Amino acid sequence: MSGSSIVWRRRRSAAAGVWREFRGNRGGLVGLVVLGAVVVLALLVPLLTDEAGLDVTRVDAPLWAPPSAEHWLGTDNTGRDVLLLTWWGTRVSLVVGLAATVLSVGIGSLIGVLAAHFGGWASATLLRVTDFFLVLPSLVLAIALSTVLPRGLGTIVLAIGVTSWPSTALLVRAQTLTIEGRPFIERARALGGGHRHVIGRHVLPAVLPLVFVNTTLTVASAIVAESTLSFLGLGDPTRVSWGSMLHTATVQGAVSKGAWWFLLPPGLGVVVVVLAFTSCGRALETVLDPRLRGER
Amino acid sequence: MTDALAPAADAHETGPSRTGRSGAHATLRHVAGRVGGALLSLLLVVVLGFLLFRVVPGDPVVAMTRGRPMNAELIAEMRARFGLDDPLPVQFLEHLGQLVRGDLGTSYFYRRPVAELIGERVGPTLLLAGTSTVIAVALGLWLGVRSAWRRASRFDQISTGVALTLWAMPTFWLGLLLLVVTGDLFPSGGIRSSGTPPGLLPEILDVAHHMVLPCLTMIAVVYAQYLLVMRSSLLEEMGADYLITAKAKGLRDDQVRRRHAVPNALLPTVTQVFMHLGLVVSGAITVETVFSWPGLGLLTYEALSGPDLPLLQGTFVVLAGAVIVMNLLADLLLRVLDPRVRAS
Amino acid sequence: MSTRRETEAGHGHLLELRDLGVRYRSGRGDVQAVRGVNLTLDAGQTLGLAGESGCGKSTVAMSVLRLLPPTAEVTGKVLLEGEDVAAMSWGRLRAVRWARGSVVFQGAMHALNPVRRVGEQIAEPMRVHGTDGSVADLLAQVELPVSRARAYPHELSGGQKQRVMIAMALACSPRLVVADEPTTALDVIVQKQVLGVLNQLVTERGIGLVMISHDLSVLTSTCDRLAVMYRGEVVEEGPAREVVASPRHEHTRALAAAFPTVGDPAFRYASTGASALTEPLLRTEGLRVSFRDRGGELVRAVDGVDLEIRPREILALVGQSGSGKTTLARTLLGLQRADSGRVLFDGAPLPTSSRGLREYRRQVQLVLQDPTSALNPRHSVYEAVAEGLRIHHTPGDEAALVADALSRAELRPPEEFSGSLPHELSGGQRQRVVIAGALALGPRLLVADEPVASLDASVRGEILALLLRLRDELDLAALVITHDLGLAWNIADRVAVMYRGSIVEQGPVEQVLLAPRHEYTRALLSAVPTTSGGSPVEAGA
Repeated sequence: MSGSSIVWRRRRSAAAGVWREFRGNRGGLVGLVVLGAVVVLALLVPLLTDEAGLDVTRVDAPLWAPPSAEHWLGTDNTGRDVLLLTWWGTRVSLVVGLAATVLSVGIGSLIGVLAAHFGGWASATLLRVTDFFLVLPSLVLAIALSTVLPRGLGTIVLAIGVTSWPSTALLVRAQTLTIEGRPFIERARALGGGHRHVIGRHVLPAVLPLVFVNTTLTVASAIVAESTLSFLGLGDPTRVSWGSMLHTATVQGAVSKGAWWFLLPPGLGVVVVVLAFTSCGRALETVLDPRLRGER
Repeated sequence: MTDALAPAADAHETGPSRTGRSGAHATLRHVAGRVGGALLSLLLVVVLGFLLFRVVPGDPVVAMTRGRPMNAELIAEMRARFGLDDPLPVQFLEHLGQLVRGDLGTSYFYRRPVAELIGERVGPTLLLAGTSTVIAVALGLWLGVRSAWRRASRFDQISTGVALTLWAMPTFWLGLLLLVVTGDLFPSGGIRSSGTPPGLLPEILDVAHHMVLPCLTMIAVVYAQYLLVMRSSLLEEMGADYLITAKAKGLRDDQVRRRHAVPNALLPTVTQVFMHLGLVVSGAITVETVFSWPGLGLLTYEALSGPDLPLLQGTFVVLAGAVIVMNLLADLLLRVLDPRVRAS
Repeated sequence: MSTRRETEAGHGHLLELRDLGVRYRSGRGDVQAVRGVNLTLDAGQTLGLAGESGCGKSTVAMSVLRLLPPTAEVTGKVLLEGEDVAAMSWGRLRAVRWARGSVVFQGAMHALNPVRRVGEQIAEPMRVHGTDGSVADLLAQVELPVSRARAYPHELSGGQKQRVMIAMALACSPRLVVADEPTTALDVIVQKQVLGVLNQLVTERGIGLVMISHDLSVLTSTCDRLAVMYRGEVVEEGPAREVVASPRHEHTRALAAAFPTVGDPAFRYASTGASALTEPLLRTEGLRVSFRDRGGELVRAVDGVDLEIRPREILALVGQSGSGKTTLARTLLGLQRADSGRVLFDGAPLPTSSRGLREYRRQVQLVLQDPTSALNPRHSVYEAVAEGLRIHHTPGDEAALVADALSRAELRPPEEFSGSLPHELSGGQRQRVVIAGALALGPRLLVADEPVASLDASVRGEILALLLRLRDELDLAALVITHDLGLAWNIADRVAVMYRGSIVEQGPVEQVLLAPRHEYTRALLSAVPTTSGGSPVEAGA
């Protein structure tokens, strides 16, 4: 009816406003463009390159070759092209980063909203669990998980997702508590609204922008975590990722050989993608935050 | 007429204030609550360790004897020795009892008690992580204050930019780069060289020489967090009304900052610093791995590449436990420092 | 010293504002907050500056010590003892701040540093300016025990913090004190004490006091002269009593009407009462409610309350903050569980099942104090009003029902408002949206918690008139919760006075407010500052 068409028009114009302000933030825009480029490259890699180049048994280039016209970034200890490896590595880093983030933000938001909305012992228990996981050094737990579970992408995603949710939970809980302290929640209850109404109509719409900002920042740290776990040799042995490249490089003595071309590209890949996510997140934060905090 | 009600009105007014006795009582209750919470967390760590390393992987005897031909008799004997035929709760209680006695099991790889191995490695980790954390905190807080006070200045932009870039770097990669770039300037690993002349001073200098790169790496990655927290906390504080009061009293800008804004912003920052102690542990694991620094982090790495499950379980319990205890201490310390926390 | 001589010779005033203008520059365009303000104040005088929120009165206060943010552009002159504040060097300005003129800031909680003892904060300006004085003396002057110097701000009550602010303002024996809303958010009885302290200081020390408030009754009972500000300009100025008794500007008239004199028939708007013979619509029997505060201590908020509301009746529940009146209201709505006692609606006890409660809440609706926070800032007016209809799946054309509720709340034409977001509306309009949201469900009883307390004075009358009209048109009963005895006099049929969880007195308005029997009611009535008739608060009262 007329009511809902008004709502949609308003939402569209609000989204347009956010985009206009985001566009004004140079760091955020650069981050977004870089991310777009990286995603496109990651999607196109099977079309533009030959996966056979990753197979140790099917390459015959010189080992440990420094950058040349043929191999722009040199070759690794088995003669594989480092550029090709790095390019393929993008896919694992992005997939693991995003999947772990979805898991982590999902758990965090759920626990955060529940811990804030329902008081009493249930909330106290959830908070206690959150505190426990927050304090626990996440890498140590992630190492433990990926050691005892079968190696694979799923394990890495699980290890990162299960250890990184507490900060999201605390953030969402704090925001939910702020919203629930507002008189309009009291009004909604007095109108007869139950838990579902209060959470669905008032809490979630107010919390989601914050969750969204938090998501971009979580992706950044999930990508770093993935590379760390793979570097320690806990990654999926069948796939090339930036972390596993660095693992191979160190184990094979790239440092003592001075093979900087093998060490530099995967690390730079992590830094570029993480910085892009971080600057997008920070830009979103400045765009969305006055709305979150001010609420007028 | 008012006089008759004055005492009542006064009583109403003094309501929120706390008398000494109830304050002491509240403090005691708070401390008890926190200590209880920490003990619960420690127990959870032990349970988690037990589940992860004893239950999930399946039969440890199979893991231990992997790749070696064993006869059934020997396996049965080992199972009995490890108490694997008992039901899980009994096994757990057994395990808990061993822990309390300081028995963390025996390493598959070293064939030595895990507790002994960990004891040897604690010192170097404390030295490296402690030094790096102290320097990183000091650096981060100092730069954070300067950045916030001159928000959007060139200094702020550069220091925040550098911090963000360093934060985006995987710790180990930064360490590898430093190793490649510095070449032979610093030792590439370990804590001591073999040819050091005897004597206290040469030995200290030797350890310090070995510590430069690992320390730098850890500081670089950790300080950014502190800088950003301090900066945003001070920025938030700078809009506070009491700073206008301070200004109106005739204080100079630097007095307003030093006496009012920074002390207020510092307390939440300190809380954050301790909340992120886990980061230091993560940093220690990767840095020690890269630089072969013989600490708990390197021990963890050695254990996971086996995998040497009892050793890994030992380092897991000890590292997590240490962070929980440190957090408890920080929490109690903060209560002494911050009157607001003391009240709530 | 030359300026001092000038003052004594009668050349300069203690404070003089000459054609003061302040403009805030911002990305969204400039805002002229203050324009063409001319005011003077001499030692030993008190000047009241009245106006609604956003009229520029606080900006004037901040400009006296040049404390405005860098985005503010000041024109005209601020002369402090003849010296132009804008022309001072930074060093000179710092020397003048607090030593010659000090400020009692609005909202003492935020104006005090939370992590330093109040004694240190009071002593700080003395140390900075090198003046002698003792914190103990200052605390004694504001009637606080010396031991409070060791307290932190959060350990003090609102009235005590306000006194600390005053003690701090006096630390360097300034000649001028600017007090910005010094008693807002304080209870009437505490307010009376704080005003007493301020007045005493003016008479004893001969300082000049500029007092800023939205509350005309507070200003008339404290100040010699009164200036009324409206949209950045001073629209009326003169001796306080004269301005209030015969206001010339219509804005002053609206402000004055918002602070009614209890007992004056001109301020009694209520017309038809309920007949005493009808069965009560809502009744409580021995209601007790307690809950644990954050420290875990048991607070008995409602302690044996018997109350009756009849159809078409407006009952005012009066009490100070902390008397338990809001808890009582929440219990009546089923938002808080009672320990013992009963709530009967239409003779039947309050349902306990969530389904029954939902049905009950259609009949009894809540109107909250602050419409700004009572509306979800993301929901349009239409959504806010339709919220209740959707929760209860009310049959019928939703759009028509919403439009009907809006026009009953006098938001006409309704379609002009449905698409707006709350922040696009004025405070009064927002409160009408809240009322419309309640009306949409066709309730029989409205529970209104301080319905006009956070509205600007000039809007107050309109909302009260709306409540009375709704009673006549829809046969609504209302329970109005307020700290404001004037509001009870304005519209209520009966009054119940609540003190520490119990009703100490209840009865028809004329009986309770004109011939109070309980001493607490008498104390409340005597603490209310009035715009006419009453005398300025005596020193040390």
